[in-house]
Amino acid sequence: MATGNDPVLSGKERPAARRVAARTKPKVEAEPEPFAEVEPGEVESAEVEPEFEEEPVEAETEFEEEAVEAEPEFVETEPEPLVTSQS
Amino acid sequence: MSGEAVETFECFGGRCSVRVGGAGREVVAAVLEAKRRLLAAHATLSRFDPDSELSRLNRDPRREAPASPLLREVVAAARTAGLRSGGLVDATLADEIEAAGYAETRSFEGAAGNADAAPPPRPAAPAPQAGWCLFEVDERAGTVSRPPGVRLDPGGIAKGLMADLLGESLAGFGSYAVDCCGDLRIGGADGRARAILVEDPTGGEPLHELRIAAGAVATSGITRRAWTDDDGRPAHQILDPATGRPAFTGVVQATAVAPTGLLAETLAKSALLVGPERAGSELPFGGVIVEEGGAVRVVEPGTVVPPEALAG
Repeated sequence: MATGNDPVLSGKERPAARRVAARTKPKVEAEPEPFAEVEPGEVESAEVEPEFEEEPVEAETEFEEEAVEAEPEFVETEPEPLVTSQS
Repeated sequence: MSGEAVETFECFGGRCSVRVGGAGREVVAAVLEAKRRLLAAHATLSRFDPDSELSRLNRDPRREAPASPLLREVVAAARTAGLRSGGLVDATLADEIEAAGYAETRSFEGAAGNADAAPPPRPAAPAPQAGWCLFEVDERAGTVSRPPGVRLDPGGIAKGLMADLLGESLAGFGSYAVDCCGDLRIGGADGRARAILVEDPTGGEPLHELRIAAGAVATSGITRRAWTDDDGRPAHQILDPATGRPAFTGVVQATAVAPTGLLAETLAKSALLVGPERAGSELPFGGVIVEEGGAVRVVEPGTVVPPEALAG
């Protein structure tokens, strides 16, 4: 049984404990479910693959937009000429 | 963040700068680290500071003396420059440059002598008993050996070498440029060409513009660090190894392009020392030659046939 001195339940530590729990919660839910409820591997991959495909499409679009925006800035920051002189 | 972080500062008796382009705070840290390394190299290699490692080596009575990794690299670079130039680039003319009037750090403002009093132009030649080839480096022992009394004055060789060493450490950034008093090393992962202006030795508008994405450019000349010696003769810092006196060859300035700063420095000095007839043959990667009288010749890269190709 926890006491007032228990570091996990103390007033200072409790928020940190919640954050840790919040971070780990999605992983715990996401991984076991397909294996626990659906045994055939085909069904499992059918659910996973579309999600995987959607993400790269979004990422590529964002990357292209960034590149288009970055190009003009890159040209504008053409480095000023250097001078070679008697050393 | 885009653009370049730039730091400009006094070093090696002139002005140096480091530019690094890319994203993130690493760019700023890289510039500051490069500045720190250049200033440390200056403290190590200054012949005007009696406490520098170079001065201590030059005074050391032992034939073999311990030397830091940087000093060993400089000695090795001096040998490379001597070999590549057939002895024309001789980094052991410390006694001669002091005798010519450049014994301490000084200002050259208004010190140039009357050019009309210069001796007739003639090509320079290697020293009959060269000192540069007497230096040896023992990396395992961490030492440099040479006959005691043979002194090292790396000058431009150290600048070209430091530009190379810093360039290697900055190669992973989008762009970089290291300027060691006019000896330049540029490059970067972006591979974009950068404009390099060739300074007019008489102070006029730039003579030419080079565009280089990766490589080095160096310039040697006799008009900037020039003075009048005790006998009233015009003097400067580019010596003819054969005579130990300032060289008047008919070339007043030579700019060389090369893959590395050390090679660019070697080629520029060689082009100046061989005189106008052969100067172009010393610039296989291109460059600019300014002759006595003001004629300017641009040597395009690849237009020089390497000597080995003519040998048959």
